Amino acid sequence: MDVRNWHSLRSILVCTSALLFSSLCCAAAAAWPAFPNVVYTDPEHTSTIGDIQFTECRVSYPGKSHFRFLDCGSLEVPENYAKPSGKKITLFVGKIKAKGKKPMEDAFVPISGGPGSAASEGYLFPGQGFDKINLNRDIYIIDQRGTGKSNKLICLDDVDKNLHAHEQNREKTKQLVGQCLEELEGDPSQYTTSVAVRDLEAVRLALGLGAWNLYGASYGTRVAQHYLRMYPESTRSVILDAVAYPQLNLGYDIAIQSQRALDDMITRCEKVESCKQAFPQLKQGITSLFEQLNENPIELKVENFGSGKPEAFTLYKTHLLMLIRMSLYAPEVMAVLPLLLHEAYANNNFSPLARSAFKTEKTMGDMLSIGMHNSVVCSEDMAFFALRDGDRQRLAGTYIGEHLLDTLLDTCAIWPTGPVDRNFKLPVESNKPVLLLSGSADPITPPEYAVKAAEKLTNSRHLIAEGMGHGLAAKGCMPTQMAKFLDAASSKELDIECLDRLEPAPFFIDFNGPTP
Amino acid sequence: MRQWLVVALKEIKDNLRDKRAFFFAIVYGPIFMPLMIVGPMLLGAKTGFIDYESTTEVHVQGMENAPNLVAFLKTKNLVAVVAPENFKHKIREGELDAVLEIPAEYGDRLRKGEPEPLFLYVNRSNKKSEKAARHLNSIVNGYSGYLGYWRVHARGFDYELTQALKLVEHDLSSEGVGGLVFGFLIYFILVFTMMTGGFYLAVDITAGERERNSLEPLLALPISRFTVVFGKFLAILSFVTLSGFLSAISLYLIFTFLPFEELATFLKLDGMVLACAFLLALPCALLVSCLLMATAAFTKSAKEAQTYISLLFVVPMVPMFIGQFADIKASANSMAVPFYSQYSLIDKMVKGETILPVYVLSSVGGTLIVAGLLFAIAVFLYRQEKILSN
Repeated sequence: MDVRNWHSLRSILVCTSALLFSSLCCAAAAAWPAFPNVVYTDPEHTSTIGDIQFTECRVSYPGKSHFRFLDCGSLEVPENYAKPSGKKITLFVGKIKAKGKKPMEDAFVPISGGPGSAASEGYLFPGQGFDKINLNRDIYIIDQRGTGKSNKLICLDDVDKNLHAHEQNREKTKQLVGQCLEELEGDPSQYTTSVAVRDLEAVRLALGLGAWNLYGASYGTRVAQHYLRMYPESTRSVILDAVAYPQLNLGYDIAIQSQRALDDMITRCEKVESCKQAFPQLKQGITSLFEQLNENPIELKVENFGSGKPEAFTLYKTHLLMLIRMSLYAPEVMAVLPLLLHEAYANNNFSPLARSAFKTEKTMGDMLSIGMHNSVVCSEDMAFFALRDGDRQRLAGTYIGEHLLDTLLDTCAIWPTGPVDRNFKLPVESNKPVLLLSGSADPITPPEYAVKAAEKLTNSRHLIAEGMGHGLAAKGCMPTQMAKFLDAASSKELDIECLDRLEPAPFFIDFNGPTP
Repeated sequence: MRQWLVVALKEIKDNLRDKRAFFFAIVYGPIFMPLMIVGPMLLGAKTGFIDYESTTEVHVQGMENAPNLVAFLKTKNLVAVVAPENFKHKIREGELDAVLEIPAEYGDRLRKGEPEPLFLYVNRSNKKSEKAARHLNSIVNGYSGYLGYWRVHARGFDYELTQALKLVEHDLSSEGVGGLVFGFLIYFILVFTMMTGGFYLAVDITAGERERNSLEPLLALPISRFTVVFGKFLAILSFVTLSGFLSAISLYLIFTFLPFEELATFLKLDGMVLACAFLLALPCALLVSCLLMATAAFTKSAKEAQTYISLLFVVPMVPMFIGQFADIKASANSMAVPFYSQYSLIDKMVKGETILPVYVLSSVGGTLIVAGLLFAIAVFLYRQEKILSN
């Protein structure tokens, strides 16, 4: 274990988010398709699996902080399956060979969350929890349509403007979303989960593989469940990590669940003597911080990480909102949150908070495909959502408030909706082996969501890790237990005792760490 | 019945009656040797392997100075127990593996952001202690890395800043992990067993027979010297091959029934691989038989034969060592060198690398040519009248 593992937390930050971002991408034509952050290292040598050709490549994080060698291939699919002769899009298909000498026939496919993050950006790098599985199984890294290297739907807007426009008025949001739609080529409505699972099956058939094993995290659990529903014979087993159940309309509840997680954090801090002493009045402090930023955003000079030179930076309420929301996903990140907040409200030291917010914003902008995110959320969540009496009052009691819901409503008012299969919002019925994982402190997909998802999964098992957050795959003994689950295609023999040894990271009481 | 077959069967029957020869051919080589060599290696691999996921006790001095560090250790499956008073003595004596000492000022220095030494007591001459120390080292370093990363992070800086350069390694070897020494091991055991299998018989039917004066009547029979040599050669060959075959089977059983899951992932040691290894080594059986035959014919007494043949045991190792030190590339030419080629091919196979058919042809061809030469020498020596005089 080394420091690099803490980097993997960045990918956690890139989970379910409804903020609008963009990033850069390049495209060129060559013998091998040009993908962003992919270098073909030996294009002369190819290997073929089924009908898909692979060649060795070096793939990096958008930020170039990690590199990995693997085999890269691709598959062309119609953008619209109803028009098979129409526009084609290219799906990125990466293959990480099994490390062992006796690989199993059934491959492993991790599906990324978001919606809008990409498997090739989240699941290629250290500390994802798949190394044990990779000993005996090939891993296929398939970027879902509209994300990462598979025709990412990005809008070339100024992130900053985008983020704070809705703070001033909702009209501006609509205008920006409209602008984004105009910039996109093709038909953005075709980027829903129901179409994505057809892609997955098309990739499996092109590879000529038998039934394979799916792993889905966060929004990825929705994809995995729907694939299991549509293609039960193609599915050997499923791992659902931080589960969203099919009937869920994700959007409205985010603020409610996140508030619960924040309250839990405050309670946890009060229960620990050192945290209570270091940060008394945490709850009131956070409230006052929001009030302060609501009235006046703070102008400050923040060091640019790259140049080391100070830059003017305005800290808005939305920054604070995003930082708190994202920090609650993982206990390690949460551990420094009270410190950052306290430093700002008690000592008027906003720099660490601002710099952290700045960094989080940048990371997320790199990672999330906002167009695909909108297509999914507008077609599958907001289309089925209706406000009831009292809903807005409930939101008003949360730190996120109505802002997120408004953004979604405004976006989806103009964003086109696409294909949603008839049975999409029904519970999945299956007797395939399914393993569900929840963290009790998850700020967006709490354990009760997994319980709902498992209602008609007759061969499933649900594991809950006390005090842990969003995503368990890389935690403690989970990598080994997941590998065991795949080997046996059964959750009966898992050692869940080792999950009890997991503990959320202790709170930092100052900038140098927790108590000894 | 053909004359050479009569000779061969006579020698085989004699050898089977000789309990000592039988033991060496059937029991010592194929069963004891692999167990003696592979057993400890596997156990060694097991003891060297740190299982980070099973619960391990660690002895800590000054636990009360760092409850959070102790809690971190626990999340990493290290359960801290209080170190005994005289722990240094106990580590020296090998009664205790390793002890982590947390000084009283640990907390204060942590608060100031100053580096804080922790002390690790270990006995480097003791494998278990060394392993415990490595285990602790990696977990404590992990904690240090975690604190360092988040200290930078809490201040709102980007940890990436401290990572100025990234060296991205690209391993172009086809073997990946885990060739280990198993290729060498299988080759060594197969060939070495062949030597021990034919050893007694070879000594007995040339130098031994001469001493017992039973060689003279045999050579007085109206059969050609070639037939005599060929018969004896077949007898030796049958034992050499049988020993080799049995050792392949016993290796298969060892690799199948000894628990070593960690290695199994990285090694192809199934029945198929061992069968191929045996087939690749088969030309060596001919070569070894001719080598034993020629050497025994050349010596004057059984004692001398034993001495010479004992020295011969080094021969299969020589090309291999040269290959290791000189790092000879596999080519059709280098594959013509007997022993070296078998070692290389078996090694390649265990690592799951590709083996070109031309290599196999070259290996078989080169080995057979050398074996043929030695056989010719043996025939030549038998044609000399010297063969009867002590």
